[in-house]
Amino acid sequence: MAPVGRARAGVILKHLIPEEDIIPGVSYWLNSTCSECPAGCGVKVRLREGNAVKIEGNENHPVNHGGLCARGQSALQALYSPARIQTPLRRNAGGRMDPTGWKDAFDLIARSTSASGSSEKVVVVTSQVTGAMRAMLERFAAGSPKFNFFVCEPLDYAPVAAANKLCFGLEAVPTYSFDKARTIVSFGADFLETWLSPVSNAHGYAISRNPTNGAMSRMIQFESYMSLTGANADERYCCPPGVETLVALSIASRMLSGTALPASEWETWRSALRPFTIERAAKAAGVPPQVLEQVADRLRSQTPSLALAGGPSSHSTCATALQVAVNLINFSAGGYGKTLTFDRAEHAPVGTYSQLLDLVEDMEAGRVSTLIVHECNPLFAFPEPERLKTAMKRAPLKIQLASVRDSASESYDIVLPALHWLERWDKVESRSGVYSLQQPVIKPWCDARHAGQALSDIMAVLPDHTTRMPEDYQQFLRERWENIPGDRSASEDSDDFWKQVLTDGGYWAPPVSRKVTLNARAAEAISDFAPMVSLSGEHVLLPVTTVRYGDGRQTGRPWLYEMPDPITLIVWDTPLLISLGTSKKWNCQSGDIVRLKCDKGFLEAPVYVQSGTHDAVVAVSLGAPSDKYASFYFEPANHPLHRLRGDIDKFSGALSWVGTPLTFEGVTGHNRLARLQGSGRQDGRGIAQTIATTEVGKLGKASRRPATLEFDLYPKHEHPVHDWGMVIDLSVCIGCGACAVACYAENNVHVVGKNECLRGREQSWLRIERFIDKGRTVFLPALCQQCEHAPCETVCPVYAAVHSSEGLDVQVYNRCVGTRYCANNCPYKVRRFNWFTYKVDPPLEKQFNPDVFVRTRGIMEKCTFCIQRIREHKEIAKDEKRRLRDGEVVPACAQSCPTGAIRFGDLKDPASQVSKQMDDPRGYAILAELNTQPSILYLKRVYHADGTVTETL
Amino acid sequence: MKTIAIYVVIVAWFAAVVVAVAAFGLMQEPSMRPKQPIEYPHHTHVQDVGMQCLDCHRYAEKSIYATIPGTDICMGCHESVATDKPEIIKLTEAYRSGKPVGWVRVYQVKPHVYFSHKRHVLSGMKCQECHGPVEQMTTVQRVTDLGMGWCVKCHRTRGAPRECDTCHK
Repeated sequence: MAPVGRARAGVILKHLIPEEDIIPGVSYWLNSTCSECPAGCGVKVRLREGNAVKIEGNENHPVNHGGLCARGQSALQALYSPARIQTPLRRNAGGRMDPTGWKDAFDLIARSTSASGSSEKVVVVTSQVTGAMRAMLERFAAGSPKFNFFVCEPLDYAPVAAANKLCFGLEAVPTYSFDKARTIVSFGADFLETWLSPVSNAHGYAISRNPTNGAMSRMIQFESYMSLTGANADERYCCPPGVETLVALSIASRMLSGTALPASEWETWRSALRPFTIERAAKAAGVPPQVLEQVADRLRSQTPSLALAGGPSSHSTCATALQVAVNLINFSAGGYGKTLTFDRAEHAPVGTYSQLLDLVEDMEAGRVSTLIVHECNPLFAFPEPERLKTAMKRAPLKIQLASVRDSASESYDIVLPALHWLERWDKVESRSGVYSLQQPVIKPWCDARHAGQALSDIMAVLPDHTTRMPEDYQQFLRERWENIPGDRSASEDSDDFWKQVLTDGGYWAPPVSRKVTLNARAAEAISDFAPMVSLSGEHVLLPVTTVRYGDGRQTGRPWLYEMPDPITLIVWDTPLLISLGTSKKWNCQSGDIVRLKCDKGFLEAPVYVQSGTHDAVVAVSLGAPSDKYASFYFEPANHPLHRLRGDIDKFSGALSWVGTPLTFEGVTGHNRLARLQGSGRQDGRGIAQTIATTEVGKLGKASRRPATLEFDLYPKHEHPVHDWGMVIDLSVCIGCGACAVACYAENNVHVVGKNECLRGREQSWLRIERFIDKGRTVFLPALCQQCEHAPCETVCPVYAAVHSSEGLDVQVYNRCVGTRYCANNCPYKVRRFNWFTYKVDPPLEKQFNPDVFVRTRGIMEKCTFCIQRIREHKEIAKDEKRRLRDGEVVPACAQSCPTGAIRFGDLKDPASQVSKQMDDPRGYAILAELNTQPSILYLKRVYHADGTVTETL
Repeated sequence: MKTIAIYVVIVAWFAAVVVAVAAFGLMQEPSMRPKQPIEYPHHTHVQDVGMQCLDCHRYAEKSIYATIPGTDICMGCHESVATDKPEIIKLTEAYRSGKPVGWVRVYQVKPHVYFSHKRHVLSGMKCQECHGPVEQMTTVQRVTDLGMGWCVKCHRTRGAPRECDTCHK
């Protein structure tokens, strides 16, 4: 019934609410820390009747400040995944995997290892681990030269750390404060999607975008494919992949003149940067030289400014040079200490590709006796999977330790089930000094063990490894929590301290101030190089990471399949993205399957023509939908990382993602892509509106629920107590889709599959639409507008669509007979019809929100403004004999939003935040001329009039 | 003659369909007085022992669910009371095995209905107003169909809210 784990917990590891106080039918929230990517956002998990039904961001957490991305929210579908590994598995003589017990598995491990020689290595390959797990692995490694661990992350940030080591002597990734920046220049970094800590970045970015104080930040993006970040940029310049380095170096070169450096160092930099002139970079990037000059001048004059580099196309053989250039720019602009600091280092170091190659060589030479792979898939990230597979076969014992089956699970001898991060205690330190708590929120439903415990148990049965074990990981973890370095509050009163940790979701140690001085020796990383791609018509492959599947590990999650990619608006598939020019050259259209030849075989997948893609680029997102719920899934014919040449950046040892040439071989078929938005054109209807910064001050007062007719046949609705309304600020909506997934999770929205989506039968209550207005991309969350004069209500023959006294258009499910008149009459197209009774594979249904009816065939449904949450908080207020407070009721979409674009509240209360925002001069209602009088007011997106424009989606 | 035969067949066919649908409907409708795995006499506990509803249905004023008690609550007394009775032996076995007793639900609102015990109990309603004189029952018997009309009738007389979204979720 209740969250558990405390039976085995000792003095300190216990929950805030004792189990006997848990009441069925009442919601509880427990704090934990997301492990879906290394960013480590704080989360809180809603529990009902012992099931985890919703994940939300923790408002107290210094990383994400309450928002949570789509991938983080989808963790529940991994927790209850049908592909969870439920018992230990072992390979039988026939090569099949048989279920076995933990004891048998350990016996087998002990037997297999005793046969092998004692000089061979034990290697743990793991996904990013921080805090206690890392401390344990480091302790293992320090105790034995034969033990090694390797952190395998496809997005490794090794060039950033390498450049900082060269420049400042600090092998670390800084934290970036977008909130303080007035100028943001990004060389390919998709910082609103996957780069480093996307929710944290988006939160800061939104603060910097405040249009009211006249100092809205300007974001400038150089990139070679259309990323979500690029779509949000004020100035976006499309350049060939790898040319970002040239551009950054030329800007650094121009900014060098005014930099406060000792004369000798200044000279070193100047000679290193001499070949990188603005003219040369501008020619390679295909932009006028004035643009680059202006960017450089802005970085210096519009301070504080922030330059950053990352993203797929920065993974080149010059990756470190690019990062050094960025460091130089930030140093020249005086950004260190303001917009980026090393006070808290981000992203603990991970293994690089060259280290992985060493490991593979070790395996090939038979120097590895035992390979333990924890929650990662080296076969996914390694460009030569066949070589790695053969090398792995040389290791006598290969063990996988994972919670969910992945695409490589078949290649191990033993597969051990690990607890999902929502089922275990742990201590995570994604930023130095930010100690985040993980606590078990549900009773484990598989015969799984804590990965730390399982690792230490494996170590215990290996020969020569028996002495240094923390036998009990729980005990080890407790010590880690009790002994937080440099802080005494933990030891003084551990009970109070622990209570605080449970309430806050962790403990945030004060940051340690670290000043930096630039070292001119870093100039050695800058060497002259040719641009990655010549503009003569050759194509290169560019693996990209997206909001949907991240680095590939989040495959197997139905919500993410049905979430449209914010750029292509395609669900399920991940096509090859090409430019219009390329499609003309190849004579193919969106959906055509093309065959592309590269050094290492072929790539065969449907293409999608995406504007903003460079003519020389074929961009492919990592990850693909898998019907078997496997994580790290990809279609073998379409896995971009397996087609890479394996070039290395010599300064950081990172794998280059750029530079694999592709040759077009022909169109081989067609695959209809399910794209959920027909067109980005607005045909003058003013759905998504924008306004220049200079015009904002000239606007008059907005009117809420503007009525366009003087005479009305219907009586006016009275709102005696509450009148719910919403304001959506398009200026800070970045289109990440977190709200859409939050809505799926909160409201038991069905996932219907690609074929149904192709028929226009998707069920999403909230969708992100993408429009172009005055050449600016606008992301627009489209949901039921809860019209005061609702077209749906007047046509319902059975009175199933009715207006509530609180201003909501409610849908009475059991009254609905499915005429679909309402959906046809809805101008916003937000009503969804259940054509079938959609089933989910067990145990995914455990995630269902018990406060929301699971709709069956023949019922119309739509956004309810999360009426169950309104009800819940009204009940709480009633119990406490008070009125509802402003901001108490937060719908799922508004809660998850990393940027705070969605505000919800009571319009009846003139002091409520939403009431005040309703008077914002930027406000407008969509299709107001139809006299629908919506309860949602959109605030126009503010743009810089001198930014770049785009004509097509 | 032939036409009459055809009519008879058609009528018989429709009659069969109607009977089948009705029978199916009856099967779907939960019994008003289901057989329970352990015969639990409410009247003994309330009238003879003097227990109150909330002693066992302990969350009725704290949660939307009144909740049926776990065997540990029963064993609080039955560890030592009436241990030799056959029904108590069944209970003890269930408690020792750790398996929940498979009580058959007597009252269950439809899944699209939001119903909060807490709100009703705190407003001063007696349990018997909906559940009937349970304290006199040997086997619990449902006294209402939990239909919407039945709910609304009471909401109307008491001036409770009658908007759709009060109860429909």
